[in-house]
Amino acid sequence: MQWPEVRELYPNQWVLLEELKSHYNGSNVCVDEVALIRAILDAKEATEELFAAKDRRFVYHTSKEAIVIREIQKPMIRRRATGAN
Amino acid sequence: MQIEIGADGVILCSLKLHHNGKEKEVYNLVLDTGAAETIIYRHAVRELGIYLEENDEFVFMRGIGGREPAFRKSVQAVEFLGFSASDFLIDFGDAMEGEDEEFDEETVNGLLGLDVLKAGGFIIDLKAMEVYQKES
Repeated sequence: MQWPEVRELYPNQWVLLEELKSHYNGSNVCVDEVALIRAILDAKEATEELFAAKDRRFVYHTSKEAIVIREIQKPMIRRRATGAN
Repeated sequence: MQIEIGADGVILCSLKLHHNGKEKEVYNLVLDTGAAETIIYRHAVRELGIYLEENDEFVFMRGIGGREPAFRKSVQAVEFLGFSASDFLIDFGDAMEGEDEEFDEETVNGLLGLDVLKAGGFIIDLKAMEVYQKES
């Protein structure tokens, strides 16, 4: 599906999507084609879904004209405060 | 403030967040000059009710284990060692993807990054083991 179609189906709300086709524009991921998984009720659910989403799934708000997501390199090293590294 | 290198080999500090009329002192942040942006793990701030909202930007962080999301939010106020700022952008993410572990008082809750350190004009003195704001 193209993003404008999703926007028409579910105006002004959060949706759960799967990335099907995208390209890089600098450090931004521009998503061209998506599969619409389902609509999301509110910001709280959208946050939980975003962090629970696996593989190529993500959430987005249909008020946005295009899906452009900044991608950064970042080591996320989880540690405990004490104990050997 | 006196600092120490903890058993883990890094400097731990805390940051106070004010948001939605509530406040929370987040402990066990790694003082990290290798982090451009301060990031707090979501488990540490559940009671502040911080969520990704329409106008917040979220980013993908690419690293070990693939791609993980984080979102940038303007927090009403932050305090660090006498320095305070309002409407400060902080990143919020999860410690590790799909993790089921429990969090306790030993868990690292995020990284205190260069954004806060620069904004406050902080000096990190590893001889005297102190972190403080530079006097103008």
